[in-house]
Amino acid sequence: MSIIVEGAVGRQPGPDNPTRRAAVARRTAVAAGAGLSLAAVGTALSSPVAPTGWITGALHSFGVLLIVAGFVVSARSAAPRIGWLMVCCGGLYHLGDLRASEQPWLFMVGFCLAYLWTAVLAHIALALPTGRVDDAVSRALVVASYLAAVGTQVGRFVAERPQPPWWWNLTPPPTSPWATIGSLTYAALTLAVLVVVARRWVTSTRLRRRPAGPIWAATMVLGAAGLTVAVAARVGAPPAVHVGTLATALTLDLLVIPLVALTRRIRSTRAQSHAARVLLGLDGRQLPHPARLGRTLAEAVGDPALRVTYPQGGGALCAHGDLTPPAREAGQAVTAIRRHGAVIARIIHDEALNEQLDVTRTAFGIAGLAIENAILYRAQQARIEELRHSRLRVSTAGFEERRRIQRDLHDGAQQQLYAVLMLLDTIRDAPAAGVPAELHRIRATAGRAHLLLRDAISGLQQLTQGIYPAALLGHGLAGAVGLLAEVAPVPLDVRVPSRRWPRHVEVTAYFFIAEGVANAYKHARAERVTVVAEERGPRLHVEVTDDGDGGATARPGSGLSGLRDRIAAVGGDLTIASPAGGGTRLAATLALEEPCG
Amino acid sequence: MRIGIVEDQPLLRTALAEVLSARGMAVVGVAGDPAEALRLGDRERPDVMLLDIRLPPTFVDEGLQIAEAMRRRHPTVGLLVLSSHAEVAFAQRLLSMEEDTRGVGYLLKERVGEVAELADAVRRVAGGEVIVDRCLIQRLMARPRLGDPLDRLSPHERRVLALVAEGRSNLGIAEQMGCQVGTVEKHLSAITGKLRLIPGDARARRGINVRVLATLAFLGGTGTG
Repeated sequence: MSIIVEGAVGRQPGPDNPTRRAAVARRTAVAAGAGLSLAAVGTALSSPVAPTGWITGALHSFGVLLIVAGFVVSARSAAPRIGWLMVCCGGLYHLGDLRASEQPWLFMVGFCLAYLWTAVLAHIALALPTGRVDDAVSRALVVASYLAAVGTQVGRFVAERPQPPWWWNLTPPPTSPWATIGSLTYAALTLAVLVVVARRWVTSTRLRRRPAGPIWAATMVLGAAGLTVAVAARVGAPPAVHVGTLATALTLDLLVIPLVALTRRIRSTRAQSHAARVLLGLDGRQLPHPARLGRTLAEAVGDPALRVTYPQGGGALCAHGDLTPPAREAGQAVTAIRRHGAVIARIIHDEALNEQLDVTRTAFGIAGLAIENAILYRAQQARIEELRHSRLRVSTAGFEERRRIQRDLHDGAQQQLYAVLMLLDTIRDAPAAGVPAELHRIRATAGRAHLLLRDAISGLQQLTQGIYPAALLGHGLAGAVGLLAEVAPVPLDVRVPSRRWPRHVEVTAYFFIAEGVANAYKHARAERVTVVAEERGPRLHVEVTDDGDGGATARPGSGLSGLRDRIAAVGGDLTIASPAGGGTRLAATLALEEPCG
Repeated sequence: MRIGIVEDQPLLRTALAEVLSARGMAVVGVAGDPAEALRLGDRERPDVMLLDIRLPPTFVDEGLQIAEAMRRRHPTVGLLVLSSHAEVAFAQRLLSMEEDTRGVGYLLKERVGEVAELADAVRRVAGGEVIVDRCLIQRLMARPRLGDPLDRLSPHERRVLALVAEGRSNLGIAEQMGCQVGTVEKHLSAITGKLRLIPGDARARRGINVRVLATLAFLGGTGTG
């Protein structure tokens, strides 16, 4: 399989530029290092003030786990930026731990940036699945989230002058309207993000929901939790409610992430086998029409907008030509399928497919294989066709040569021999009375020469007839077979229409019949032979049936085997039915096509 | 007797002219291809034209085509066609040029080795007779048939049938067999009874060629009785 993918899929689905990917990877690694350090410091600082129980575990481990998950996503996914954002989010989450510090400036930083991670979370939710925030509304929302997350905290810090230590469970009641402003802004932004995500969810294809869905869901959970916290703060619920809600949401998300990984794995395997099943149904004997291959691939990978084009340059390889230079719409990517370095097809598909590399590689690999297979099949067919034509031309040239030799013998040598025969006749045949004995002897000798020459001419005539029957030219197959019937030593029942066919077909059919008839009386001791020729569509069917001994086989080197070769050479085939004691039926089928080229 | 010879092979053409001249015939012209042949025919209107069947350009049936053209232009010119291959179809075509074709002959080329016979054929064609080569008839008579209807004929009747096919008249048959014309007529009615092939006497009297054609059709068909 790997060979096919390597050989067939030139540009594998993934980020456009490998160097960019490496840059993102480096950035992610640095962010992860920093994030983990921050997590260690934060955990150490906050431990003394943290409540006991599972809640602390959840609050402490969320950031670290998010960093790890982000790192994995960045390394494995086609959208490494999402991973990078996850790592940042996990690291920034631990900034909140700095609020537990007695150091005033550390506390200040921790306080002001405690909710920065929620803005990153909104950023992630809006950047799914490609890692980019494309539309203006989303971009505005992201910027507003960052501003709100930091701005409201700074405002509150300035207004309230809070004193350390703080932590998620240690939040004294607000003394300024900034807390209310923060909560309301947060709630409004969260709602807006949720609406945008929900709208995307509704309008996006199944393909896009598939990879992004779980993370969207996780974001929704956190968003809902954030809303709850904000509302709780507004109604003056005790801090335990905030912490409990937050910890529950974080725990839920922690559970969601491995679950997501597992379901994606299972789903990917199922999708791969589905894609393989669908694509293996493609007919390997013809280059699939782009639309058809497109539909099949679309079904295989679940991207209804997927299209396939074949490049113009591969004209010889390609029946359908290039439809247009592949035009892609927003959110689409182009993947080229290569064979020996040359592009044999381009697939325009949803970028989100890059999210499921296993499925896409499998599907495109098999599609590439199907296309290559079709190209090879076409090339092979073309070669066979060329061979067939050249063999037909060679046979036809052979028949022409035979005809020329026949004409030379018949119209040259034979006519001269006739002249000699005539002259001999004038010497041998004269009144014998009163001629000298010497003259008589000369006449007798001339008479013998006359006899010998007549036999020789007769032999020559049979020879020329065997090279190319003259009647075939003048009267076609019916006439020539009629002559055959006149001289055959067995009764021939001939049913051949008086029609003309291409010369090589007539000659081949004639020699086939002559050989079949000769076999019937020479070897099979037949008492009756039937010869039938019949035109059926683009072919001439010729049958020679006898009531002889049967048991004829086309052993290598036998007459029938030679006959089979000669028939095959003009694009026909021979079938032999000859049960022992049951007569013989030879059937030849000849293509009625003129040799071309 | 004035003869025109149409033969593309120069050696054979010369030999034919010599031999026939030696037999007291006047060779008024020779030709090697269809155009020359027609000019010769138009110019000389010989008593008989001796035509090789295979001539340039296609070497298939040019001789017959000349015969057909000559018969349309000059119906009185006798036409003796020489063919290397005995083909019933050619003989039938030659005899079917007119409703009652006279003065035509279809001989095998090898007959040039029997000059006396050839000269005799020329004379008979000039006299308006119809001639089909005896070898062709022998071959047709001898071909194997299933339930051969010829088996029902006596040896005499078979001989009469062959002579009919060769184009002989009743008188000619009687001469050949050394018997009375009445005997020939008796044989003929017996044959007609047994084979139901020779048309009634009225038509037979009207044209020798009619009964030759009927016989050729019977012998040449692959009919199985």
